[in-house]
Amino acid sequence: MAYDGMNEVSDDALMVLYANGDPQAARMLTVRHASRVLNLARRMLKDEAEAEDVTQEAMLRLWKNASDWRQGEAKVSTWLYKVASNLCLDRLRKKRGTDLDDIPEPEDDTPGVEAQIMATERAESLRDAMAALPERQRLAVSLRHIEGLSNPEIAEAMSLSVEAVESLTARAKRSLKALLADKKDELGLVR
Amino acid sequence: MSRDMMNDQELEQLFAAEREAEPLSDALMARILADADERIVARQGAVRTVAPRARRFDWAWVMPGTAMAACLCAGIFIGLSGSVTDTLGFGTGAEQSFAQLLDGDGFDSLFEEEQS
Repeated sequence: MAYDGMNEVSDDALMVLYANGDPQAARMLTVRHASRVLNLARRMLKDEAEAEDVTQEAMLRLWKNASDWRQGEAKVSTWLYKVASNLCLDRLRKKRGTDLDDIPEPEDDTPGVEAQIMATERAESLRDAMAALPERQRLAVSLRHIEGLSNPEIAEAMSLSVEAVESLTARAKRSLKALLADKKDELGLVR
Repeated sequence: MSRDMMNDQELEQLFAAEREAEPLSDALMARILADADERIVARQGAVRTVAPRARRFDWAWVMPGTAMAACLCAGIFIGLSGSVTDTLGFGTGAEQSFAQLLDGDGFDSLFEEEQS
């Protein structure tokens, strides 16, 4: 089968193709979703190796679930975020008792173009501030404001009510604004 | 340095910087696709072993059905034979007649009783 118009094939259709033994469908689903899952895991765990393990595990569960996939029941992206969120929260729970020495140091900044440095600093400041949030607030604000999910989608991914999601994201944003208040000038933010 | 709270617009600028997702490394892509291929092979293997088993004649399913049918036939037979003896008038004093049969007089004792 030719895959010239593969970008127009829906996720549900790709799941059916994969369940019928088509490896190209798996490649397409991975290209579409895995990097977003990886970035969510990075923000949640702040550990590259663990984030990659979570991404691989979430995708493996998708492959295992392919033959039972019910079209139209859940979006592949929401389903993956739900699995990845649970995997991250599990790992964070296990990590709580870990010695601080075991947590890897952040990488040194490499000097580059000013704009790149600024972009990196903004991203790192945001990640640091998000790391200070309670886990569920961090997850909700990541899904809402970075991954761009709607509140009902987040509610499904986190097994919460829409009202609870709204409350989590509002509290998270308030905390982030307070945590980052001192860095406004440093990060060159425009009002 | 400003001590003002950050506003929504400023926070959105930070989210936007974070939104630019870094692509997957080739190594991670290879790991994920290897898992996907492995599942395809496993599923195809499972289909091959399960399919012939589904077509095999299974006595375990037939035996309980046969037993139930036999019980049903026996029930119908007992019910019908009861109504036949009633119709022919063998039902009255059944216990006594049965005792006479057991005593060794046989069926003749029953006819003798009716004739008298």
